[in-house]
Amino acid sequence: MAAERINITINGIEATVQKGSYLLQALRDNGVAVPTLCDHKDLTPSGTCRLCVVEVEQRGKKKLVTSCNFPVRGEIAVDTESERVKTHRRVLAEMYLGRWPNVPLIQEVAAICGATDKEKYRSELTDENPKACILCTHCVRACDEFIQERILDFAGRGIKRHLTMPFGEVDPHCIGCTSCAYVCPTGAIEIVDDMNHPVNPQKIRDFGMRINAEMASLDKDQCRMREVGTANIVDVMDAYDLLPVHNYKFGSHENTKYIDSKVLKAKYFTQDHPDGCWKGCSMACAKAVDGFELRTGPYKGDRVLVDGPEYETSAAGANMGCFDADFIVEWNFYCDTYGIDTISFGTCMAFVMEAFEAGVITTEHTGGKELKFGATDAVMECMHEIAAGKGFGVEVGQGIRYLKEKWVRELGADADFLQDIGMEVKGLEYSEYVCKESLAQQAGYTMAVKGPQHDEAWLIFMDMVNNQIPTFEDKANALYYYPLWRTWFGLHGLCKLIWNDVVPMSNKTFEPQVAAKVPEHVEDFFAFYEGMTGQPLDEEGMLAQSARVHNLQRVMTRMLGYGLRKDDMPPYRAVGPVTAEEYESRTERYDKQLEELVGFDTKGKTTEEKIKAVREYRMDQYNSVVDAAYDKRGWTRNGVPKIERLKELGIDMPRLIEIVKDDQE
Amino acid sequence: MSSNDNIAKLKGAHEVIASFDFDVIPLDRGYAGRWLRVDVGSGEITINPVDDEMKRLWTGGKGFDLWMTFGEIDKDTKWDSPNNPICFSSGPLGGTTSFPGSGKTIATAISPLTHSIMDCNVGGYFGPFLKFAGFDSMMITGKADDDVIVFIDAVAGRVTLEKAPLESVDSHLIAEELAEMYADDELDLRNIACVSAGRGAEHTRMGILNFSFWDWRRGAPRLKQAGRGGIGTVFRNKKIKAVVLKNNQVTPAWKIEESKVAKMITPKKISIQCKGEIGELHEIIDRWNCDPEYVIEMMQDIQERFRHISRTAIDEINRKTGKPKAHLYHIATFYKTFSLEPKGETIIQVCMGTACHVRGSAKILDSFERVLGVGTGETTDDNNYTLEAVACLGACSIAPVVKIGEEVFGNVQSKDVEKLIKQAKGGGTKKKDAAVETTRTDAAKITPADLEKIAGQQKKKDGAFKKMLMVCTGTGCVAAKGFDIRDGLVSALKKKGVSSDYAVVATGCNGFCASGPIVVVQPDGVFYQKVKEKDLDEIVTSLENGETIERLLYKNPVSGEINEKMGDIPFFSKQQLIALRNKGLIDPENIDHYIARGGYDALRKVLGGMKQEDVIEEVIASGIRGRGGGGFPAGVKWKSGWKAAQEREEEIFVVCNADEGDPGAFMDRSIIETDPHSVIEGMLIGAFAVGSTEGYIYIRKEYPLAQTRLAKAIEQARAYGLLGDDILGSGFSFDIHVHRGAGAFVCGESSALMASMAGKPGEPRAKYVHSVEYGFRDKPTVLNNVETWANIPEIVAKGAKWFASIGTGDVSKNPWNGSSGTKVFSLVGDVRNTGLVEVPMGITLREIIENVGGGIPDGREFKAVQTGGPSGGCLPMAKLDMKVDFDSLTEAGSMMGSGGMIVMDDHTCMVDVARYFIDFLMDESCGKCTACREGLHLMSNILNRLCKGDGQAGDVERLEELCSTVQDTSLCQLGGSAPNPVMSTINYFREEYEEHIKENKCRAGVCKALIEYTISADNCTGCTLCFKNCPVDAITGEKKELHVIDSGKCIKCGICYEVCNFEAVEVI
Repeated sequence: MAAERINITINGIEATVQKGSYLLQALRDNGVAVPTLCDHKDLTPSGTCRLCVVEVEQRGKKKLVTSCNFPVRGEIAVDTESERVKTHRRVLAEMYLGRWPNVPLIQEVAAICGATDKEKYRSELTDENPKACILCTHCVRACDEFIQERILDFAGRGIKRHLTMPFGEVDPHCIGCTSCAYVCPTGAIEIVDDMNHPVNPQKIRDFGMRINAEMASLDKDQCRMREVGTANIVDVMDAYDLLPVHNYKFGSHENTKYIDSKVLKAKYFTQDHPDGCWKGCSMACAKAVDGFELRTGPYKGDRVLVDGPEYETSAAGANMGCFDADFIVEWNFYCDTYGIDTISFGTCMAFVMEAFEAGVITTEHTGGKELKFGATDAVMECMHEIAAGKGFGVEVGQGIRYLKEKWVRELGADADFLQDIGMEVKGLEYSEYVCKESLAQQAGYTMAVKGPQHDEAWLIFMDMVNNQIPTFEDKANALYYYPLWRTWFGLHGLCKLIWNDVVPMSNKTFEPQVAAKVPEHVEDFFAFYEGMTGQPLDEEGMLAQSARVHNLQRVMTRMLGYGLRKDDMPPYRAVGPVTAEEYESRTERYDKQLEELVGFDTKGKTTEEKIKAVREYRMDQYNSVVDAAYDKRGWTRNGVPKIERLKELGIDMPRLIEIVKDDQE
Repeated sequence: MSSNDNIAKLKGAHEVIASFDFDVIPLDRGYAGRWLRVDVGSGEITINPVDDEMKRLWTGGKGFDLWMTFGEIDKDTKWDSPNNPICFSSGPLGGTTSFPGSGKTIATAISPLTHSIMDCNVGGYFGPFLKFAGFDSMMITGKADDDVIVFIDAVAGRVTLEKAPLESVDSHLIAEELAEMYADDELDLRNIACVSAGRGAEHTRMGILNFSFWDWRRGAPRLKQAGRGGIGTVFRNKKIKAVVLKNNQVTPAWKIEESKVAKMITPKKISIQCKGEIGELHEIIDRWNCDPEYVIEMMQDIQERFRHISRTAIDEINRKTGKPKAHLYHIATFYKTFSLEPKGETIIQVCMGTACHVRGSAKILDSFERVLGVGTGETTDDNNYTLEAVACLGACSIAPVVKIGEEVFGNVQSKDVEKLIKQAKGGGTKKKDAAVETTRTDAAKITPADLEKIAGQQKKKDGAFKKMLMVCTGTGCVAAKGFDIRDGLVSALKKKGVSSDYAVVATGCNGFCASGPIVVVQPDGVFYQKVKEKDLDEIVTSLENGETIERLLYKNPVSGEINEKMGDIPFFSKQQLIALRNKGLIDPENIDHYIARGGYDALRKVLGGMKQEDVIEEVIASGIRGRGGGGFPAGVKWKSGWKAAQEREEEIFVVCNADEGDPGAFMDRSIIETDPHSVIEGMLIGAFAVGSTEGYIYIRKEYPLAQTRLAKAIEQARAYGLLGDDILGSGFSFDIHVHRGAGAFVCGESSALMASMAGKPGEPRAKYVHSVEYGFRDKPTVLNNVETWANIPEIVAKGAKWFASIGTGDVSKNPWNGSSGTKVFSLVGDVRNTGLVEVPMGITLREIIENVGGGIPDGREFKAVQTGGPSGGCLPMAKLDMKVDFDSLTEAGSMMGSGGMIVMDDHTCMVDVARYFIDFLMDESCGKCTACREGLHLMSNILNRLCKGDGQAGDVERLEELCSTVQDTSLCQLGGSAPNPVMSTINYFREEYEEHIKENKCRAGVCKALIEYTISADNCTGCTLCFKNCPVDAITGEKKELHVIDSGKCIKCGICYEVCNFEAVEVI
């Protein structure tokens, strides 16, 4: 979306500026400096110091405006150096100089404004302190905008205005994020985050604040994590045909609008509220629903606080065909308080529903419940059965692998079909992304050491939405780099969302493959590490830290009898269309791929024939990417860490070697 | 919240199985260097080292978890084996608050779903707290026989393993139970982090762990999930109910450089309320639905109830509304109403409004300070009295005014002060009940046709009386015992047995406040003034006789002519009433009276088929400009709001600005007290025109009578269905809410007013984006003041043409081209007929002052007239023949403002007047922008030194420079117009400034430092009156001999001057 530009005149010289931008920025962009004390690059303008006044002529009328908060909306002529402007600037600077004569910043700005007389406006309130607060409002704005906390504010009015916390006491609810000290231009605020006794707290703060500033200015136009948390992804995934619908058969649904972030924001989530799950988190994505009245179960009628729904919760709803926000919030609450994983339960229930609709099981097996897609009441019944420890719900709670085995064993169900549609790997249910079209995400899921959970490799967004890893090689590289990068967060007690759920402006300057790594943020995290430990860190060092742990986990998995290539194989539903219904819902897409990528002539072919062709092609692709990724990871074709890799990482202890030695090629 | 008893019961059932003490050690570079192992089966609790090798190889977090697990398990370990350990770790960077997203915990175990290693990352406070307790990681292994909890107390340095049979298993309950069990107090709840699983985890393989953190804003625990792979199942399989961590209270070490002004505000003793009072605080907060937009209202109620805002009050409001404490403290120190230290039982307010100032209120205040022995703003030691100087009580026509408790006293003199305080002690401050019950109780929703019916019935009812006695109960007359007159009349009629023949009607302000208390006998219009209780029997008798009582009639002080009828009195005869059309004619507390006078006819017309656009066009064509001061054409504003709402598909608000803060103006108060329905009807019409369903009236706190009448009017309009849904069956819905201001002049500025309505300090914002587009709640908002709204029904009823024909210029095509209609002025100060007048635009100043106002009393000379409120200007004699309209006043360096008109005689010092206004404005400046905040303070410094005789060469030039910068660069119009009083007085009375500087002379005899009181030998009769009254014994003299003032002792209180009957006391 190209921003509209308009012509303005600055001190007699023509210039074009972005329509709607603030005049001060426009002036700076054109190399014109205007003095100011209250402006801060990372904060919304406050227009309080008045030093940035300029004379603006619009439709023949001249007026003085503060350039920092004057939006350029029409053609104007700006004079930044008229006598009128210069006089007022000087007098204002003299006022500042009279009140705070020894603050270096004031002296500097006063000199620019031609104010030198410290005595002229001296008064009983003249404060000789060189670190005095000059009421620039940076800290108050940062507390609000960076971190949404609003711990700091002014008190008093008029000339009695001063910065304080209530009653001059430290507010115990201050979370110690230090944003205020970071933006303070005079040193009037002192606060250090040293619970960890870092080597260089200032360095940590400076890089942390760089991200906080982005959160304040960019999040509202990027992921809206502060508004709706991860639920923003519901809308995106639906738009990109990646939202799991009806046990991952489809990627979007017309009823998504009933459970998307707009609905949650409008009717459920508390807004304008810092919602971090730890102190100092400016992303604050832990949204919650307040005072939700429960309609079922033992707490029916209670008004409760519900954490979430997050993306996965809503998406699991879609996966079960339950496009009902009230249901999702209620189900979310009971999953939490009963201690049940929404993802495993949602995915498993979606599998049960497909099996029910396919006739694998009937009401005879479900305790009379019609477990079709969208059966919200039946789902809640199953939930309460789990809590009570009896009924069909308890079986659902044993997971897909258990149900598959049981139904084959006891009901003679088609094992291949159940294998294809049962969305689990290693016994763990998939989390909520349709990865059929994303080879990177398919492998990201299945190759995750613990099972198909995207926290090890959430590649779907960069693959499908941002198109940052287009080639096979890119994807294979991604399957090496990102699981390790994401593991790194888990080694340090950090949240991954900060890394790329807000991206800095600098990201636009990189190639897609590089941009996917968000280089500026990687730099921020490395600086964080160095500020804490005193040890510098680079990509190589980071990869080594992570790889040691990643390989340890793979070796331990091997010790427990797993961790081989066969354990990294997906159910086919994760790779391509299993059923004719599924194929035919996106015929055009699949046909096109067959024609273009496989060279398969689709004319006159039955859907079954086409499904088979797609399957062959995709599984071949899948195996190739696994091979490539194993290679990069230093694992054997069978998925076991090579001894030389363990040596390279310095973790070739006998006990580890003992576990993998028999699996070496 | 669970009950304390319940918690005690739960805790009482605990049985400690194992206990282990440890030192809480500080962290170094992100590491504690040790990990904690708890075996819930054996009860063994140990601390193990994290050595450099472990750090180097496994870094932390998941690396530590896995490495510890690797040491615990073997290839045969299953998910339900006792030696399947659950591990929790933060990481070296975890717990940082200055870098976002640093609070994750990694949880690991062998999974019942995959039978292999599972890891989850989870939010909540557990991981950071574990580190702060001195552990990089912890492991729970073994299997318990009964339900247990593991409690890590980082405050006491102890880990205990306790049997816990009674706690809930479901997480939302147990997290709360345990937080309350282990927290020392409410604030400590945030230091409890709890890991739990629920009942469902027991019966599935997909059990999760809930990591809690206390959400103090919501007053409940939040749950973050370690969700994948069934670690919760393992947890319950080990029979663990919860792992609880109690963290040390951490309050960040803070320092803000101390400012000089902080000391002026921060209370010396921070007051905390006792437990018993917290319930009352909650009641007040609940009454306003814990709505953060209404925190100012809550604080007003709290101030009223407890006489101050305590820390407890701020804490409780914060907790219940979620409004940040810092914002609440800002509010508490921003609005004048609030006090952080308890005020006295009785509050004495000395009005420092302009009219009062020119009538000597400074001396009155001095006298109160002297008699009470406290300074202004202070409370007497016995907590009986707090003395306050207030901006304006809105009773300017009886200046100087003092309010003690709820009672208003007018025309106060310094010598009265002691008497007034004594009277207050005697219980004289009891609030009078203002109401005679006139509300219809049978009211129900009405139809358009019903309006006529009601009007007819009311007229018939009134016509049944022989006469109606209209008793003025405006604030001015009430101060002169207006209610006593009303009640006295009722009993006098009863006594004579004629109470059914005559009606006594308490009306709003009649306008002629100088003559109060006033009784007008209708329908003849006989005007009785300065009525006393002893006159009442005679009045009743005269009614029966058909006579008039001459001594109670108005006598022209110049010509000596006596006017029997109200309409013949010059004060009234020059006026043209539109906004005040019903003054003195109706009972403001009876909607039927309003309807009988044609009220709500305009609304019926509008709803009866006019289109929105038609109404807007009609108002534009009338040319009416905003009566609040800015003079912006109201119709044009409506149109912008309507357009903005249409374009953005947003709701739109209409707002009535009744925050009449201008000292010297009280027309808005009077209109509401006299005719509240005219405002409501105006707003209804405006709301219909712009498509609004929600309206607000923001009214000054200092106007309790207006508030009461407004509330009654709204209630009555609602009862008739004139407010609410489907008004008059038209489908149009609209309702009005009232916000009380809390003492801030700047809230008259529209954006500040809207900020205040939203429950914030009244700070204006830049208007580069207009509030009509982005106003209240950032939605389109049409704001007009009381007088503007009151005009609207008449404009609609009689037509734009009629309205435009009154006043100056031709506004029919361009509303900026002149000033149409009338304007209400409060004519006060040194003028005979003080009161409220409504005159056509374009009338001259001279006509208002001399004809309507009756000229300057006491044989003094006219010196200046101040218009436009504190930001207006002082116009000299030479400007008297100027036309009064928006543009002429601005051109002359003053402004219309809201319509204050303060006449000043030659006893007025113009430097002192400028000082007075600047001090007022400095006090009222919000302080947001530098120009206004610093500039006014510096101007005040200069002006005060001029008045003290310390003027310096160049002071006038410095003032001029400051004026120019403050005017040009202030954020809002308060600052933008603040220099007007200085500029206009320098402009028209520069010589007085020069005299103050060069000759140390105050020609008006006002500036105390420049004057002395003496007694003239020629006039002194030795009557001893001055001697007796001097409060400091500065006067000596024997009876019938010349008295002498000792200038060393004299405090220049002026009492001798006041009391001397022979003009012997002189000011030199």
